[in-house]
Amino acid sequence: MERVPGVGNPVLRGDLRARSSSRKIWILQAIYLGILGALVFLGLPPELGRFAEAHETSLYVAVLWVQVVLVTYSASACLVQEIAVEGEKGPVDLLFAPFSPRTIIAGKSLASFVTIIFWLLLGLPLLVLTTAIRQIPTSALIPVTALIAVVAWGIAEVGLLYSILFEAEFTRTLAHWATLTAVFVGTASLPPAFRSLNPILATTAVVGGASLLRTLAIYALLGLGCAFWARMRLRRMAAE
Amino acid sequence: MYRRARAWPFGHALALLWALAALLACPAARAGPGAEPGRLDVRLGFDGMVKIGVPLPLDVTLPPFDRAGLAELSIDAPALGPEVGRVVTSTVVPFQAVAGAAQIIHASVVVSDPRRPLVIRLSIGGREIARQAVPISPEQVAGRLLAAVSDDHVGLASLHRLPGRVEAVYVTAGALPRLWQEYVAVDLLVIRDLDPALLDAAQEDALRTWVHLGGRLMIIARRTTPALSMLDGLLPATAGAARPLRSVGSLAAAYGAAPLSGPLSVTALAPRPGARRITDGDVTIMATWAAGLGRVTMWGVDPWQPPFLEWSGRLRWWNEAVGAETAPIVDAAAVAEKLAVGTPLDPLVHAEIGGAIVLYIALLLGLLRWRPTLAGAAASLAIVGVGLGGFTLLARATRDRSATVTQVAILEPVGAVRLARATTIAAVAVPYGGRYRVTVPQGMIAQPITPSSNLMIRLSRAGTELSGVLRSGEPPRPFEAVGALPIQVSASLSSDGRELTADLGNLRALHVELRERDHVYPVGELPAGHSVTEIRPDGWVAVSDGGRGTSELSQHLREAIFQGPGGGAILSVTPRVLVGELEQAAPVFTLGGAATPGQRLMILLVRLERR
Repeated sequence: MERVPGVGNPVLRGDLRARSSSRKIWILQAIYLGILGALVFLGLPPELGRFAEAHETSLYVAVLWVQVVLVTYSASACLVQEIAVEGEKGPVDLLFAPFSPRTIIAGKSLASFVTIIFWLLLGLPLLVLTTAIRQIPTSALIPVTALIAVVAWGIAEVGLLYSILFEAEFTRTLAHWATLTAVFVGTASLPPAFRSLNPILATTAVVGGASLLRTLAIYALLGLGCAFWARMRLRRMAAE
Repeated sequence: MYRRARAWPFGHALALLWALAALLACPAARAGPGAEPGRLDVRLGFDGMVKIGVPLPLDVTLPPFDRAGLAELSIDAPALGPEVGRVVTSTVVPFQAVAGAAQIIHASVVVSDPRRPLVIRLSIGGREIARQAVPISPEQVAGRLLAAVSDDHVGLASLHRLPGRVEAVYVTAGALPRLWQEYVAVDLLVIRDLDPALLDAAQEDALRTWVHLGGRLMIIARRTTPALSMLDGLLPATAGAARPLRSVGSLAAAYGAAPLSGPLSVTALAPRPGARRITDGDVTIMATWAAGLGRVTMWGVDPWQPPFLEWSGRLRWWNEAVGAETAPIVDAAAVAEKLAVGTPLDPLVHAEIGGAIVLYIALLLGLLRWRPTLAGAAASLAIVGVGLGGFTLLARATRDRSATVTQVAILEPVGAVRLARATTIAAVAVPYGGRYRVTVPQGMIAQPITPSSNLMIRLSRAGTELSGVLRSGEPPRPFEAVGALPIQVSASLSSDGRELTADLGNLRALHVELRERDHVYPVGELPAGHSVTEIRPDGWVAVSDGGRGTSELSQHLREAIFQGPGGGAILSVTPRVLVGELEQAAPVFTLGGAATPGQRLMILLVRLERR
């Protein structure tokens, strides 16, 4: 089981157990669901003819924007230890336990991915309400949900890397926010060809029917690259 | 010789290529595999003459086809709409195609944009068999239209010199409409040579109803013309014997022209009591009266006689006979605008959705707090599953409940006749967007008030079905249906204006008021049957002060009816009207799938007679 980074991973099991019992995560989920619910509720057209067609589209997409922002932040903040989950140890701390760097990184990465999927599933009924009421096929949610999951995981892996690279909490937080600003704000000012790196613009584009393969690939590679780097760094730290 | 022979293979190939190209380019080939040649014989309007924005008769004669089965004739009518791009309203008539037999299919269509042709498509068993464009030239569009049933097809050509783009056409008995609404394009119908035996019951009924509801009919009484028994109650006179006259001086006096010199064969008329007349000596040559909301005029002078055709006053005579261009008394567009304001979203829908969202979040968080374990998290996914199903059902229910049709029917009773013109204006709202399907009962002709694409009008024996798509947030789509209802209502004011006598039959009216220009007299409630109400001269108030006690929608509608873009058309044609709301408001438009009936109002509009 040790060779298969997955079901039998003790770090994954420990992190999931910690997260499911964490009060902070519960509050985070309450805020996430509350914001989504409020948006879905307020997104119902209160009166006919009030919204132009352009606004009508944004009402549905706005829910997705909020989802990508909240899920991405929450996932990366947990891994960068900005949100200190009760009972969840950082990757460097886990080096003192009998776990290999590979197990630690795989466990942390998978725990983050499972959490992201769980949060997306919690919000799915609210999304379905806002799409079904507008006769948008539920199947249209599959690509955009996949995009949000991969983007959030990719950025969360950056957080995992920061938690290993930066020892000081302040530096980690600063680097984390700098990264979030770069991803969510900076990428919007890139040349048009690269704007699909912006999660919000990419979400909008996918809803509009654009291909998501490039964005998916970039964020998946970013996540894998960060995980690999983190593993190498941990291995070096273990050797020292 | 040898070189030429070698060149031929290329020539054959080229010829074959051209033949293939020609085959692919021909319309029959475009119609798809199995297409059968055959031209559709299309008869639009009155002898090809049309009017814009009103229902027109369209008869399509189909040649015999090899196929039988369920067929559809589609008429794509372009329209000038507020939308960008091509706006086409499709009217579909389903029918059973019979192999080897010619068939005539009838439809009512509205031409809104004559610059583009109508496209008629025929499909049998879902396969397009024929397609034909029907272009409409500018010369075919009339401002005022005179239709004459006459054996003589000369003498009306000069009428185009009259102001208002007057066009005169000759029609046969068979071409007369079977739906009274299709007469709306006609400003004057002249019956000179009509064998009543050639009309079927539907045509007779349509003609009578049209006249009662505002049509103008002129009968040329001639010795050779059979008696029009089906119009007996409508005719202001009976035709007598033919009398030769040397000249008709009374026409010269009436039309300010030189005397109509003879010799003329004039049919002496015996006017009925109440008919206005023109006499020449002891011979009544013209009798006219109001037949319901319309007018019937009977002439003993035949305007097709050579002396009349040469008479200098004939154009003025015809101009007066044709009358001004008729327009509906109620401005449907103005009423529709007010309807759109009165179609709010059901607040209960909001409350339900809000409650469901709160319940879902509370259940999830409650479980996650109660069981803060992996098992608890897994169990929460069960709530997610239930939420998915529940919210999908809620979304569907919300859509159904928010889709509404708000409608107002304006009844204009004829008076002595048990008949009322019913103009129903409806606004179909689908707040979250999607497909809508409204049905209108048989006997009513429905059309969109605002031309819009994605609209299909399906005509069948059961009625008319209008279906289309509305985008989310798009304003309600307005429709109009015009028909006749068999109700008898009359109201009159005494000559001194102090007594209102009304007979509403078995109807009861609420919020009744009398209107005269910018003044209103609140009457209140009028009971069913005969009633007499005292009218106090000091009870008249300005319109801005009146209308209290009625609903907001009703007040909006009254404003639209009386102060619409038409410039208060009702009050300009009649000095006083009675307006009220009928208690029983039967729906005319039914929205398929709608869970709520929607607001509806039936407004009674009676022109007051002075007695």
